[in-house]
Amino acid sequence: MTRNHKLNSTSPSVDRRTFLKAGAAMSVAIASLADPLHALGYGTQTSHKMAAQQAGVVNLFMSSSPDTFLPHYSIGAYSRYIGQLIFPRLLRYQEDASVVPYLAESFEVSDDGLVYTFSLVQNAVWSDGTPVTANDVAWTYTMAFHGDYTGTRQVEAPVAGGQAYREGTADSVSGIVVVDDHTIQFTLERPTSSFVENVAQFFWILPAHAFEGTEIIDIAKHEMARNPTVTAGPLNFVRYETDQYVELAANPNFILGQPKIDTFIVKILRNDVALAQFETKEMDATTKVGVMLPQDVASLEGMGLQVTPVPGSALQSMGINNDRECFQDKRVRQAMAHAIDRQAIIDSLLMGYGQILNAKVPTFSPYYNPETAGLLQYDPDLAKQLLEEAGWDFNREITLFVPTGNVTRERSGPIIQQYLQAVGMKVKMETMEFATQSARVDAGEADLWLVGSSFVTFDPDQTSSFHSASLPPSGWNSWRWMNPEADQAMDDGLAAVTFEERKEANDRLQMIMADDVPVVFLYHPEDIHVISTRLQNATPTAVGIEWNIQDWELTQ
Amino acid sequence: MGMVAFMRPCPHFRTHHVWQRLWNHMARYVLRRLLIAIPTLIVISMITYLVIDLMPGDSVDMMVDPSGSAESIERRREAMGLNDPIYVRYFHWISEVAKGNLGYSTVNNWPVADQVMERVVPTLTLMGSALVLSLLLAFPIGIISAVKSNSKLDNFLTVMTFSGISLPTFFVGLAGIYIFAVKLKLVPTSMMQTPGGDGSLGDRLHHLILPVSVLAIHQVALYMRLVRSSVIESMRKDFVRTARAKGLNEQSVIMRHAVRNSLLPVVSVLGVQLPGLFSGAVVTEQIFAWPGIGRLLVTSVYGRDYPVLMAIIMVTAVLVILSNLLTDILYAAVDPRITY
Repeated sequence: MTRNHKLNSTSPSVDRRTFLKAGAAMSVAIASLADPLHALGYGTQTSHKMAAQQAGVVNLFMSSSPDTFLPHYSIGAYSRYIGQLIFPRLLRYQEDASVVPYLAESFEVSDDGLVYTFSLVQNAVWSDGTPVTANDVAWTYTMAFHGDYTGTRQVEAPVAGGQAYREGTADSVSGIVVVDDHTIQFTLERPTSSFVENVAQFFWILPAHAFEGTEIIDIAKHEMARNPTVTAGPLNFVRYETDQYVELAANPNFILGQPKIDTFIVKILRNDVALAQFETKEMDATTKVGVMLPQDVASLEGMGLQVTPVPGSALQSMGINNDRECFQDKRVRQAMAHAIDRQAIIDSLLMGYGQILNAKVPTFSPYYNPETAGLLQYDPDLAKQLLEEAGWDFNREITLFVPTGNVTRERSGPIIQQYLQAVGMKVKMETMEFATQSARVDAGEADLWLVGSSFVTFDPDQTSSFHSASLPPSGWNSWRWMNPEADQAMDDGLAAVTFEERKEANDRLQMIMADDVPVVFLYHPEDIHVISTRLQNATPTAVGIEWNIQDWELTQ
Repeated sequence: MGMVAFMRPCPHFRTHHVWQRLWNHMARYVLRRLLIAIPTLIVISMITYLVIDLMPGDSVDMMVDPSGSAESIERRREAMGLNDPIYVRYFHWISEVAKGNLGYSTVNNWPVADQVMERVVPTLTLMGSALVLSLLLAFPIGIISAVKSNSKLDNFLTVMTFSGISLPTFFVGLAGIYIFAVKLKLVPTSMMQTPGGDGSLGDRLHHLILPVSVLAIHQVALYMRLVRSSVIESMRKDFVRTARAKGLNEQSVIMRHAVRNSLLPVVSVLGVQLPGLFSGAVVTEQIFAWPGIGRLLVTSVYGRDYPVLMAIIMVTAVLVILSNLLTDILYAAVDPRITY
């Protein structure tokens, strides 16, 4: 009876209670489900951060995926970035862009500028324990001269016997000689001062023994291109999670000292997500291949992070078709440079994070000519006057090609068009994909066009893009600039043996360019670097931040 | 068909006979469709190859680096076979494909098949989960909207789902990261697993939540509208009137009769959408650092990576043909008016 009574009397509320109980049980269940995630160190940002600090993990930002781990074959800066962290070179750049010893503890150049002798350090070993010897160096450089070599990175110097080896008439490159296990000698056909910077700095040494039995044509497909297990840079390769991140670990045998941080995660992210990760403390540093944008600076400073702008590696220019009848008078080209307010473009589009150059040598380079600074100032009246003096036909319509792909550059198109119109030139703008533009420029169909170029190395030599011997299709002188004095200055610069000789020739070239205006150099954007508060000893400069990666430390 | 045959109270030999006849018809039909698919695919591959070839520049142009000499670049182009006439390159490509070799990327020299395969699972995980989630949301919302059609609730739900489809994915994605990852710290900002972690199931699921939600917000409107109009359509049908006349309660009328009969158009649209699961979602993949096919496709277009581009387009073409065939077979199986 009582039982029945109880049941009956409570039956309406039991439902609700059961429901509430079930709800409570469910939330406990959900909580416990979430707990293991936390316990494993996943889930919340705090737990992840703590795990990262204990293990000595530093997170770096890269804005696109690497395409191969053999940097000689890469098409982009991303693979080369990873490449420089895992493979050594003969020489390297110090923070002020000066060349310093690396795998070579010293090198000598003969008085005639033809023979380069490198002495390698004795204690370098590959990650599998094999010593790094002059044979590895010789093998790597010889590979690049082979007729079947398909890499993007070339030895751009006339090494004696290179051509014969490429054509198959010689079994080896006669100009590459292994003197002993730790001495290698290169002989050039003619003095080429860019050899040190273009080659010794930019040519990574590969472990010859890891490629034993591999045909040259198959090296790009070798397992080392996807999983480089035999390395000798500051870091060793751990793994690559496709399109997500590259994991690297400290190399205990690194010749410049074992890096103090154990693990390096190079994350492949969009800028805006990298910004979010700086806020969640999942990101520690920008890199040369992953920098922040001018509009992010305020947010980053708001997070209490230090922002360091340094000269970047790109230079944006307005190409001029020097072959066109109407542009042959240099006063017309000077007028266009005077017509464009370059500082205003830097201030509005780059929020001030950029520099003006009048020749293609960056300000931090030891070869920069400070006399070019301040030339070609914004002066629309002078521009009009120069156009009139040159007899410019103000009814003539010219076209400005604007390539897609770089947002800042696209936005600069209409601004430049307006500046040129303001001095009376009739300018039509045409926007197209970059490859289409390149094809049309090379075919000589363009009047004016916007284009970016990069300071891949800090070498001052301009032969490949400004010498009259480098006209398209065989070269990069797509502006078809043919100036005998400039040609002479470039030739002198390459033939120079001492720094002073080379500096004199390059100073001369920069003044010629600032006067003859083969192209209008628009702006040289700065890279905006950010370092988290826990990462110590990392100092961004124009060469990047990795120049002393072995000295980096993490604080709590 | 099996069901129909099974339920019929007829002698065994007759059942067998019906089976046999259906099977013969179906097999012949499928075989014919598959045979037609082969020339179709060949024509598609020729047109695609031609169109890709018409794009200005080739993969060597895309590697341009002013420090390389033009001679060395020409050498590379020659070594990669890019200087051969288009028909030579096409025949070389298709004969390799016929042997099951998709070739090597002209950009990074890695095998094309590996590059596509390693992205299939992440792509299907992302796209499939998003589809399931959007269907789970679309059905209740669509049914409610249909039952209460033109009410304030219906209008509200319609506006909500349509704002989902109208907001650009990168905006929803970044807003999601900002709110749920940066501020509330509920989910990770990006990637498929914690970098350097063990990639456990829980970790992967945790990383899946945000990108899937972002995609579902975008897709739910399509399915919701479909469910809604389809349910409204069947509510007007005679069998619903009959069901009501029988005195069934409204819930049973809607769920048993109206909704069940409005599944067909939804299923057929799903069939058309299936190949889309493979092609991925570029923007979402980029924001969340997700290794999907969409990003590979965009990278290969910019790099003029013909072998990778051809592989992705051809796999998509095969999937379109197969899912069309599947839909047609399902029609025949479901709708007695359609025979082949």
